[in-house]
Amino acid sequence: MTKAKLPFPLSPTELDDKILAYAQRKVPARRAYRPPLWLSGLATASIIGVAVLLAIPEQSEILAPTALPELAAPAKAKTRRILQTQREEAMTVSADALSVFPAAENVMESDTTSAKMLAAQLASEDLRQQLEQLSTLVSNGKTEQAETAYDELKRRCKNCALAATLEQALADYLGGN
Amino acid sequence: MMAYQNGDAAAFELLYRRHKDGLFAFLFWHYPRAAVVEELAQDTWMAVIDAARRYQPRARFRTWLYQIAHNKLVDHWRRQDNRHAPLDTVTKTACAEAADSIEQQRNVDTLMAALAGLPQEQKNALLLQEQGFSHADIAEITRVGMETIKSRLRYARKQLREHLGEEP
Repeated sequence: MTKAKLPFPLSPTELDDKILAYAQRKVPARRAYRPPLWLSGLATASIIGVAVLLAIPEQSEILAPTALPELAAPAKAKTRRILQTQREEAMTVSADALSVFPAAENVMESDTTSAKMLAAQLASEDLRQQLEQLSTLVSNGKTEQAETAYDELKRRCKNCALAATLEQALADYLGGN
Repeated sequence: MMAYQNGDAAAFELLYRRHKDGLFAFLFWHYPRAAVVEELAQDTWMAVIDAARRYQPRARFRTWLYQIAHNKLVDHWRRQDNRHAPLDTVTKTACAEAADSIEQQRNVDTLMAALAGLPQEQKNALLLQEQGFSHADIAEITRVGMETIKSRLRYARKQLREHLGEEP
């Protein structure tokens, strides 16, 4: 500030004692932990989230019996497309190959066989997926609903070689799960 | 302060011991009279204790403490209405303990007299700066704009130099 220095007197002990005694008397009571406001907001949002998550499977289970044949449709279409493409390719190749390579006919046959295997695999996966959904319904205590859906599945997929009862089918495909 | 707010009395003692002398000196520079300084210091600290329950750490504790002290000073100025205290009201004996020699004592007395001659707002800004507060802190404590603080400090230093006969 200037060349001279300001004095620095110390707080007297009596004053210190008086103030500290006052502080001791007025010490706020220990407060119970109060969570911040944002925490209660987060909790509410979480509860709503969980409720929504629980509601979604409920809805899909209700729709399951009618939705099952529809779910199978895209898989069938995919299989059909793959088979068609492979057959066309095989036919194109065979026209040229037969003239120059007598074994080409066998190759074409093996291509068709692999396409059929692939189709069977896809169909099997699709069937397994549907049976898993039925298994979920059974687990949730909706056995009657699951059995109705299974009957519908058997009716629509006569070539699937499905077991007579849902219980058996689940045991065959899902190992009893 | 948060610890004291949660019932830890020892935490307040620690806080008090850290800031008590600085605050006491600051008040003494304003009013070099033991009775007044003790009263102002006591009022300030009691206000801190009373406000502990609703304390929220918006600023540094020290800034908040001096803000309360500033309010107490303003109340005192209003009560006393001694914006330009006569030089003879300065108690020379109050400074005696802080000065080692007669020469030093004379310098201190001259400086305190020069300070006493300053308008309260200018003196306050200058003394807060002497306590190590930045312009922004002083503006927050006194609740005025930064430019006003700069202006007050400029005028205060000018007047002080004139009074003390120092070169700018």
